[in-house]
Amino acid sequence: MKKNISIILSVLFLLSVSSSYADKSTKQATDVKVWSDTTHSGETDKAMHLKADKKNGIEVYEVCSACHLLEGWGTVDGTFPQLAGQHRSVLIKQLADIRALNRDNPTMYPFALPESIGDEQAMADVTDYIAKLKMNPNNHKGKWAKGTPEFVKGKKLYDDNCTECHGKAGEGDAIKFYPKIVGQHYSYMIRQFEWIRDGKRRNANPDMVKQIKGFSDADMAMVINYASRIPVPKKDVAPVGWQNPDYD
Amino acid sequence: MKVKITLIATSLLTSVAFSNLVLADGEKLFQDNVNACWSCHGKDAKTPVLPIYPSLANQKKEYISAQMKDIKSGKRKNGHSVAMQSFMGLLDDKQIDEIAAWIASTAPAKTATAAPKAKEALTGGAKLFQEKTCWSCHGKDAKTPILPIYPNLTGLSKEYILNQMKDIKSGKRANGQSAAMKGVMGLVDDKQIEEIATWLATLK
Repeated sequence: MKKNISIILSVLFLLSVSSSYADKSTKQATDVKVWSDTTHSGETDKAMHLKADKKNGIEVYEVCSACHLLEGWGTVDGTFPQLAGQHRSVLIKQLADIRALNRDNPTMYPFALPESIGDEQAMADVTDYIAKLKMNPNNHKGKWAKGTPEFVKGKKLYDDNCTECHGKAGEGDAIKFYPKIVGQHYSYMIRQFEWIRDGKRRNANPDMVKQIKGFSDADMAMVINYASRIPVPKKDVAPVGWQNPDYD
Repeated sequence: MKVKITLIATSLLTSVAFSNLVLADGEKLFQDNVNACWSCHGKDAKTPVLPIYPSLANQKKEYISAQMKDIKSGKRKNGHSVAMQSFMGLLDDKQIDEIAAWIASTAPAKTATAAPKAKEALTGGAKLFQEKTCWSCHGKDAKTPILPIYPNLTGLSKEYILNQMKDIKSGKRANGQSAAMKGVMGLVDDKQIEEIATWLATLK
């Protein structure tokens, strides 16, 4: 009798494991039609085509929230970037690059590993959840307000150098993996810009490295000042003081 | 054959259930997915995912607990401890002590230490470790610190040791008793720091 029960239990256990695995690998998303061929890994591509599960996204994001905050707003000192509202493709590519060691980010690396974040499905779930979060109404901005000469110069630099990929409104391009930069923290963007210019961010787009090669530190401060001050579209921004109701 | 598979599966199931029952609170906290300690330090606390992160397994609970509290309060903020600080906010002092106690309990049984070599016979990092007074706090064998709040220096990677020495020298790491070590670090240059770290990393 005892043996029979254990046989049933074991079979049930094995069945449940194999069937949930099969479910995950056969799901296909319909929301995305064209993705670049130049992703770094097959898993990136896979995660992008999976249908996201919000409940699991909330669960997976809990660990991320320790640094990026429950609202996905990051920290205004720029230590941790805002993730809320970022294109899903960008989030997936960066996660994949960090865990493949194509982008040096030792702080993030452990949490990008499959052991921590989970499989492609978990990656699809959490990035979909993050992409739909409303953005920080008070991102960290550079010190030059609209109308100052530095603001004007920064805008000119932005218009001449950045709009082709990141867009007039800093909206980026989900299809081409260009990040949304509108609403991002000034100090975070400064750090990344500098690393890209100086070759420290290894997964940077080579076109961008070339484009900003001649930027002085002063140019950099002005162009990022402008980028940090592009207004976030009303539909994407959260009210001041909003708290994520998905966590209690 | 079928019976055999069943037996294996069953014993797997029961062993999982059994170990769940006896998991100490500290171990549970360390290994759960919310506190995520293991994401950097490894499930057993001694297989860090990158060499810049420390193995914790040889440390006394007093040292571990003091570091956790200092990282939580921001007193220690060198290296990548800012990420750990985010997670420390999820833990109270009692839980910190439980985790520290569990980690300390996983330390390997103490092995007999070989009698220290005569000073003249030492070379490289080992010699510097004696000459520059490192041993005064950390012990002649680098694993018998004179107080439990001082770290054991064995079982650590070269990268981690090097970063800590440099950060204490520059003041980036200034928590606990490291002010005392900062003075001593004035006695060594970068090349000597490298030699000491290289030697320490060979000690298991």
